[in-house]
Amino acid sequence: MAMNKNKYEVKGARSTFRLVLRELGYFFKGAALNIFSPEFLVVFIPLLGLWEALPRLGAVPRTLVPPPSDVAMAFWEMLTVRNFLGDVASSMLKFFMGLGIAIIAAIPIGVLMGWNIAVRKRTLPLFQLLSPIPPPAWVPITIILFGIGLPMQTFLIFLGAFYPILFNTYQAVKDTDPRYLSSARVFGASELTLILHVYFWHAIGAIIMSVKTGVAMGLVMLVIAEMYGGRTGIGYVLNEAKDYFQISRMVVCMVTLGVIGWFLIEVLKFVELKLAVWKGVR
Amino acid sequence: MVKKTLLALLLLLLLVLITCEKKKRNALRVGHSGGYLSAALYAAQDSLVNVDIQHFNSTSDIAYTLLLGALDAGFVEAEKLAAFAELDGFDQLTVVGKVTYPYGATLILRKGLNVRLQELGGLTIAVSEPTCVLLDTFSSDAKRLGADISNVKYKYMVFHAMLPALESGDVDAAIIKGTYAVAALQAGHSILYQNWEVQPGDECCPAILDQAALVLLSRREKLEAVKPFINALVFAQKSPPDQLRQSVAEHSVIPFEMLRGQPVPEFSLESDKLLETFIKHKHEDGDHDDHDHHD
Repeated sequence: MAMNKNKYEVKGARSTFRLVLRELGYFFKGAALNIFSPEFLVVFIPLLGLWEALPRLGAVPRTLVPPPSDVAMAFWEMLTVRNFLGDVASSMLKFFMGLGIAIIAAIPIGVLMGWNIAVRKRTLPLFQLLSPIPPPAWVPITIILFGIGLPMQTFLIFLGAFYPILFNTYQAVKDTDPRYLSSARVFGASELTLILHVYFWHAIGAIIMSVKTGVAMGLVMLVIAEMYGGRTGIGYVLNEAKDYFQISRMVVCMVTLGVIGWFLIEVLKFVELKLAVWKGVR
Repeated sequence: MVKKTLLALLLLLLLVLITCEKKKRNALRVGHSGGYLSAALYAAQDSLVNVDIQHFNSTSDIAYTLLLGALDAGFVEAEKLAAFAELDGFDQLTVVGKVTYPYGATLILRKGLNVRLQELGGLTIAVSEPTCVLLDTFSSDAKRLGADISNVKYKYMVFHAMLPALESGDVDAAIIKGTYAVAALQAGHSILYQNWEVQPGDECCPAILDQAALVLLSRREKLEAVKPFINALVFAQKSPPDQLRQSVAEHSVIPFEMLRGQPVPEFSLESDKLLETFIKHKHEDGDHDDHDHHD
């Protein structure tokens, strides 16, 4: 009996593993198809060629506009000598902590604000007052409150991502089609059921879209946060390279941030495809 | 009638704006990053005619703007000069002056902390390098004065990260170079120890070849136009020290009282020889990136 149970567990684990592998395969295939699509390559390759040719031909100063080949060499040097991967890992730790906290905080608050008018009236004005303050303006107060280092940097990234997610979630929940709510109520759905099964799922597309905006804002704040305190991270390397006129290194950091942003957007697109199936592929 | 008057007023306003913009375009454009080191500039500022002084947050921004020709002259940190000289287009620039400030080892205590030199044991002190002339000077002075610093904890970071670290309580004290002392006082911290006897020519890390803190660079084609500006700075530098401090207090947010007791930054003429010194030292140093390490 126990042997049979073990056999089924192993079989279940294997099929889960196979499923994960298959989904990963779909994800990477989809992402690769987006970036290596003929339509995009027709634009991208000539641009890359122009970028390589102009500094080499002396049309633009090479030390100020390094060609991609110089940038690639700087990237290799940073990987092997400077431990750039360590900087990327350090930045990603801060970024995911900030973004994660923003998602965990903003989605429930946004759902509650969209669902209940009493909650909305008590909280919305506060968020509307605070959200126009540009996140970089929080830096001095954040330093005083959290000191320099991880908590302060995480908080700044959180601030960057929090408001777009909050307001989009709130708006999407508020705009839930009343017919869905009435139908659910006819079947005796409680308010909790409505929140979990109607409001949330109606807003899921907008929520994922807002997380995409949050990713972009979070990356902006990551660079700003790493200007203060600590001596690791892509933002720190970027600023240091700017200060010491190492333009190739600067471009490496910019490209790295771009690639990270692109990858995360692809992940979110995949999540959207899995969770909001009814939206279809466009 | 009203419409015609409004139109005339609008045209007049446009004319005034165009004239102002034209006048500004003809003015000598000078970039600086402010602070106590700009004492001579502040003192000369009121007597300068046809000079458009622009404030930047970082001297590397001034450097890039100079390269692009959007500035005619600008003050750039001396420690960045050798790296800056490697960029294309630097040959269009020339060194015309410098601001020197004593390098001085300074121990800053975070605000609210009231200890004597003999009570530093157990505290965390920020220093730039394990083998830094400022730390060496401080250590030997502390020893000479009978202070036991054997159980002091050191935290290594760049100078500009030290003040935020003090602010947050990450460190209790910091050994900074003289140029940061005024900013530290401004933030409410206190100076426990200061020794201005750190001599130029010391090859220790960071290099103290010349106590130049800022270098004034000019675009070569603007040399003639820059000359009256430089003369004004040299003239302003001759003012009594307290007058220079007063100018800083008037043009910045640094109170006069805070500047008392601090040496006065000195503007003087300089040539490309200074640049050669920095470049030579950079090459002798094996072109190492001394800012290229992590905590």
